[in-house]
Amino acid sequence: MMRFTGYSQIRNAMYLTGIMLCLLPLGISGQHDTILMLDPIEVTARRIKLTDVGKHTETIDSQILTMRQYNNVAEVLAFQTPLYIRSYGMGTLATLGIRGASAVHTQFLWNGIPLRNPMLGLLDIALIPSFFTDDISIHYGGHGAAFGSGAIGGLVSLTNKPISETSRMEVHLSAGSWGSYLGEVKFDYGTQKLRFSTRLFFQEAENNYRYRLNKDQPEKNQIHHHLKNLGLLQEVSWAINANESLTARLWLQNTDRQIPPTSTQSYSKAAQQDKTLRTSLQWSRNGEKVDWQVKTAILDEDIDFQDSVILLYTNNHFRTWLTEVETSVQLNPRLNVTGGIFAEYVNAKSANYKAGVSRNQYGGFASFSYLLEDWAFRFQMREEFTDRQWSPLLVDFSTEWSGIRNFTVKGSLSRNYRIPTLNDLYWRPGGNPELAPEEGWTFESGIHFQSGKGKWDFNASATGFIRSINDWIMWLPPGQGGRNFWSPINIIQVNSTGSEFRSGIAYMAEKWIINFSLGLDLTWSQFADDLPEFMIEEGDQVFYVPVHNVVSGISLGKQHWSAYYNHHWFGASNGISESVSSGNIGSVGLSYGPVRPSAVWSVYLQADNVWNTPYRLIERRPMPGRSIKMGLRFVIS
Amino acid sequence: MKKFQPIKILTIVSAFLMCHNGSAQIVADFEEYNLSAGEYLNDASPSSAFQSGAIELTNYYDADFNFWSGWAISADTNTTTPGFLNQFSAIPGKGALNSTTYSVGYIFDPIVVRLQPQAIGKPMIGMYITNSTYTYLSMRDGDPFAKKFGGETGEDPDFLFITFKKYYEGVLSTDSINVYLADYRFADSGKDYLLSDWTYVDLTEFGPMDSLSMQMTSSDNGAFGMNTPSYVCMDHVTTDNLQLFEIIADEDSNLQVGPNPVSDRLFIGVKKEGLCTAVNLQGQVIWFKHLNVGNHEIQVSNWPKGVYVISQNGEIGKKISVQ
Repeated sequence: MMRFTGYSQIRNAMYLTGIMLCLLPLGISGQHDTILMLDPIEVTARRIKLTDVGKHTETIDSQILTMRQYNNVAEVLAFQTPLYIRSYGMGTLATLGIRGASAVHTQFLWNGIPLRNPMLGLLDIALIPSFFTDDISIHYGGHGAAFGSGAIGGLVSLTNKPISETSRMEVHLSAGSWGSYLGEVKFDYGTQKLRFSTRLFFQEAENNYRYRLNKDQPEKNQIHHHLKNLGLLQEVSWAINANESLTARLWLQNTDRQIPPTSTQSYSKAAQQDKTLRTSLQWSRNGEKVDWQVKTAILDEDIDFQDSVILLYTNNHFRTWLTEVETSVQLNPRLNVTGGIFAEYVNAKSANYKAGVSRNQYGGFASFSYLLEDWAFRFQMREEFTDRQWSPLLVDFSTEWSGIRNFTVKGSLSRNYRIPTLNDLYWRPGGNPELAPEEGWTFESGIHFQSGKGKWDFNASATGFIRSINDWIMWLPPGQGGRNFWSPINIIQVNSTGSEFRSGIAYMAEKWIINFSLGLDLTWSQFADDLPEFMIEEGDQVFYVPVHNVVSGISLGKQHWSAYYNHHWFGASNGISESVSSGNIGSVGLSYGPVRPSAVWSVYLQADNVWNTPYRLIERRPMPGRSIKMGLRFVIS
Repeated sequence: MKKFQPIKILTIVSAFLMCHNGSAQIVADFEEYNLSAGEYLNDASPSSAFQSGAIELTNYYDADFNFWSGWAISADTNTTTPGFLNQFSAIPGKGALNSTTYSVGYIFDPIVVRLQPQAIGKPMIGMYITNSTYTYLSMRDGDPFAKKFGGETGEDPDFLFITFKKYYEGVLSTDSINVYLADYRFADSGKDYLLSDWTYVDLTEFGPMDSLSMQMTSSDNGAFGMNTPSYVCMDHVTTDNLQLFEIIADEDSNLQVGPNPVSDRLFIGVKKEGLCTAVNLQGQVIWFKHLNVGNHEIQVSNWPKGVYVISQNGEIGKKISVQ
């Protein structure tokens, strides 16, 4: 199945090439961007790429996303990268902190539009269907100068590719353990000028999975964990002329999740419904020297929570409207200047706010990139004005040198910040309107190597980083600081250092393709001072940040067959209530997919947690034991 | 009915009372707030404390946030609903000694039971405490933030206790009394328990004090403090157990008891319906019953020998000696 990703141009490729395309992404680290080759089509994509000069970036493209079944982006990142996903269980809340930062320090972009929940400051990536994105790129490090508040630990960009020029239908059906079913359908259709793409997905899972608390304990059944997920992504693209295009997108999703009990809870009756509406309109004009892009979006989310046991019923709702105008000027072959302005209005309602609260944010940004023969330099800056308060001047200076064949040396220094969330400011009781934004600096440097010779292809990279975040916001328990309730304060500095290693080897013989990959993250993210009110001592590691994370994968392909084994090892970490033990998780898959003139199809079988290892990513939240899924994909053009 | 014998009583109690010169036993039972079953009071405004008997219970209420901390007064009877929305009920579903009203403390930090000015420097004799429904059900079943006691395997040696200390002349004592609201540390797990009824805490060993400090300790803690909901319910706080014999000898009171001394059957004459109690010199209630108007007979032969105060509806009572 991995050979066919649904694009007609692949269908007619040689089968060996097809297998290669499928197996190469089995490398856990995805592909490293070739930074200096800029995509001339998508201005947004280009700005994302430009901000990667001097920084560590990984891309998981559509090839990888169709390699096996992923329910959501959280599963993709957990499988493909050494990133530690803070997951509360199958389909339940999952967040991502990068380089030892918190989940609120990771910014998610959907075609350049920030997706964060302004009330919480984070995104539940278990709610992002992997089917609704074509490429996922992880941009490590601070990107505040390009994308503003929140992009301190890193940035994850979810991108939809341009709609296929030919009409086609892609279907993916899957069934697996614990009553899980998945259906995904995508239609691309329309005229040459007006193209439509419709994606529908349905997912249902009983999730009554078997798990063990530890190796010595008998298996138990998870309870109250039903999941139902339904979504639509509609895209319309109008090619106004050769240089101008208008793209509209509508994302509707309704997710109904039961929230299972913890391992130290007898039962649960809690449930949550997330209703999401995301819509965007984007106009692009690509000139010979000047590009323009205007985009506007409305993000509307409604979150209902019920717990019939404790008689708690809450509703939280927010709506974000944002618009951005951006232009890029190629002054000469070496110098590019990009600038833009943006405005964002957020309105949120909650029973825990005194009344509906709103926030206005405006800003401007500029970047200058200069290319020499072997050098690339980029300087970016951004200023934001949020509710009558100026941000610090966010700057980023990055450079790359490719003076030695096959090698690229990178370096970047950036200043980043994060404004408090609406809950931090207005939650009753405890909201603290006096909070200051978090801010800090990140420095990183790395060396990347890529080489291919004959049947061999080899890539490797090593990146080191240092980051500090001042005025880190934490919620102080009652009784501390003379307060009678939980309340957030700016407390302390958190310092992070670490390194990221990625390597991949591919061997392509006449009939065989073998791919091996290895990724290692080492992260020390520590409190810089004692915090007796939190029982935290200087040097303690930040919660849910294992020092060690390793992902390795091996894949084999021969003619129509392909197989993979992927292993993720993560070290122990500090939890809020208990430590979280280290874990070893293995996944294996087998697929068969012949090429036919009329259609491309494949069947697959995959098993996750094949060693049936008891593990958790959050304390008291046991993850599932061994599971099996099987599926069918076909593409008709 | 025998006449009261003041000389004899004074002899018996003098050893205990030491320098206390005939002050009265005062019981804080919070019934004066006249709450009906299911009601609670978490705002002491315009005062910053609830008062009952000879004690004061500090209360913080934020009208803007509709948030309270410290102490509340409650007659909530809900013993089945878990969670923080049911934070005002005691797990027995009523006050101590079958009373209606009790107090609920939210102990995120040590909180105090203050003696009112006229009682400062005098002993606090004892009180009844129990778990709140929220805390009890959280320990029994767990919740999203706190573990069920015993943990995943049922074998974790979990516990929840309250530490009492006294303040006297502004100094916190080093002596303390720990009272377990839950204890799962027994080798025989069949003995593990969650306190589900009111239990008496004898505070006489503290002697004179200005206020009483209460702090909770749990085996289930996180970086942000205790995970177990930190609530406790308190009732019938006895601040002194001396009776002025002139008052006890009041033949016009609503309560008549005799014979005195008594060894077998005690007759109680009640002029007004209500809860009748017998309290020993340590302030411990050893008998209680709701009595209608009329004469009643109770068996006291199984009571330990000693002096008891028979009172009704928390009012000043009469002493008898069981021999």
